[in-house]
Amino acid sequence: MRFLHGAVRPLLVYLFLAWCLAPILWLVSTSLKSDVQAFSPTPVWVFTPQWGNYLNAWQEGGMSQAMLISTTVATASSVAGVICGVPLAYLVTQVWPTESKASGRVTLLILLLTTLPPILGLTPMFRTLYAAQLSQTIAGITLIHAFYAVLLAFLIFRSFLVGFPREIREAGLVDGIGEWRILGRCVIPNLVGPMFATLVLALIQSWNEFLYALILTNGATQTVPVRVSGFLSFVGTNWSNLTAAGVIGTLPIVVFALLTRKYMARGLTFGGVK
Amino acid sequence: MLVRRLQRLSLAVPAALLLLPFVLIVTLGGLWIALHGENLLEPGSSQLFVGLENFKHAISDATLRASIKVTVIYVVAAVACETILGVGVALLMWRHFWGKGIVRSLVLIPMVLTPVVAGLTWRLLMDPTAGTANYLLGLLGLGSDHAFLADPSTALAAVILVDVWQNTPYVVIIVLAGLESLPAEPFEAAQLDGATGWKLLRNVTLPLLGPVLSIVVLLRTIDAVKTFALTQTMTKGGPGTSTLAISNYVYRVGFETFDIGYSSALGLVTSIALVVLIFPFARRLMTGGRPGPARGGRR
Repeated sequence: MRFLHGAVRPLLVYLFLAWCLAPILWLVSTSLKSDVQAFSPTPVWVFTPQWGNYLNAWQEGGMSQAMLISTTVATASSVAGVICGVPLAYLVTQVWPTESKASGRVTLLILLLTTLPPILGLTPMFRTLYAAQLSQTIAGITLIHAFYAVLLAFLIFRSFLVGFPREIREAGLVDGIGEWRILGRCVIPNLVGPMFATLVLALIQSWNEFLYALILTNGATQTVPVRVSGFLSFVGTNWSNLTAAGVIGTLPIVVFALLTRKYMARGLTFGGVK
Repeated sequence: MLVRRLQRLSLAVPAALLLLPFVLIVTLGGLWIALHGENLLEPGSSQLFVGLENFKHAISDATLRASIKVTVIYVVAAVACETILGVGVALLMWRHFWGKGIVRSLVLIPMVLTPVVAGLTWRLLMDPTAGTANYLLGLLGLGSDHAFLADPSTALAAVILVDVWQNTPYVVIIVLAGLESLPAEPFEAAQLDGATGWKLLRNVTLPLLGPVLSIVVLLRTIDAVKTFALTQTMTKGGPGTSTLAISNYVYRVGFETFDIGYSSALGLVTSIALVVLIFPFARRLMTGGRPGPARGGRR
């Protein structure tokens, strides 16, 4: 591995970074081209930025509406996921010892539900939400995303709680404080960063979800991925508007992801990596 | 004592309220639908009891077999490439180099990018007439009119390539974090014994990294099996069945031909198969099998 000394090692890393970022730079640059330039057989390198593409995508393309809906759905579902998932994670790590049978069973159940592919619920959820008149509504898709947010929030927050000193809860019990108050006043204030990371990862999961959003929303309730895919057209896709919509739709989650970078590895492996 | 016990259990109530109805609907509701011949285009068909007809159909369904094959190839190829490439890059990024912090942040971007947007971006890049991939291949003299996504012999490879592009950073980030949490002593000892380069990598680094690698491969597999957005936006499963992953097929049966009885049966059959195949590994890796993180001390 001698050849990896000196400048070769960073060079290879930067080559990998270029491979990661080139398609994204191409996406951004296409979003600023005219439609003819965007679909030109020889790439156009020099062009005047067409900011109008963004205006088109935002107004006529319906991205303003989709962004509002995705923000609502992702925020509501990830908050619900944290509210439901975090107390359960607290129960199985702090109240019950992590090694206990009950704790292991709950964790396994959540892990099992995470392993199940979403296609399993496709028709029954469609049928049930339709019967409850929640199909094609924001509430319906939020409920589905909240279910997946609970699983994710539980697994991620559990990983941060496993190493949390149990003495804090015991001290709270001695003082006669209830479990919910111990969680809210003594535990969560010490885990603000992980809590934020959990929320953001659930937010990203909901924002990017496509399968359920595709069958459970209509023109008035489309989330960002569904709206962006709607820019494809049989008669000729307007690629400059599509890419502008793509940039608008991904910007918020990229920013959020960079903000929680520190907790990524731990959160994404459910504590498998510290 | 009883009050305290109830108070403890109340911690599980919010989650149970959300999870239990969902689980009941998906299992019992799914089974009920699968036992009926419901087609959304035929009014009244939801009452048509067909027994195990849908499941029998699944056994002799050639398209299902094709989609299982596509999914297996997709998962094995994508996860293998991502792991090998990802571990390689993580090893390169391990020790300090100029700009490490920034590189570490920027490689995250493909990973969190909305899969629909990733799929569409690559669809543009791979377009037969306007795609930059063809332009670049043309410059190298390799022809500039490849219809990567319309050609059954290249479509699956093209979609897998995009999965690899999008998810290798996941492996990099996690393996890098794993490498950085390794103790220094084994390396010092091995170096005292004169181990360097490949020997050090093969006999010390990779074995120590074992647990992290298993988790990465497991979580990537669970995720890749569910693939839908990339295939749906890039090829819709076509041409023919060449990129028709299981999710695309179940979606197609349920919401393009509206045969939701059969779609439900397919969902049940493939889910049970997946759980039987994957869950034992998940169980061993995520709960037992290796010591949990150390107690206390950590904020």
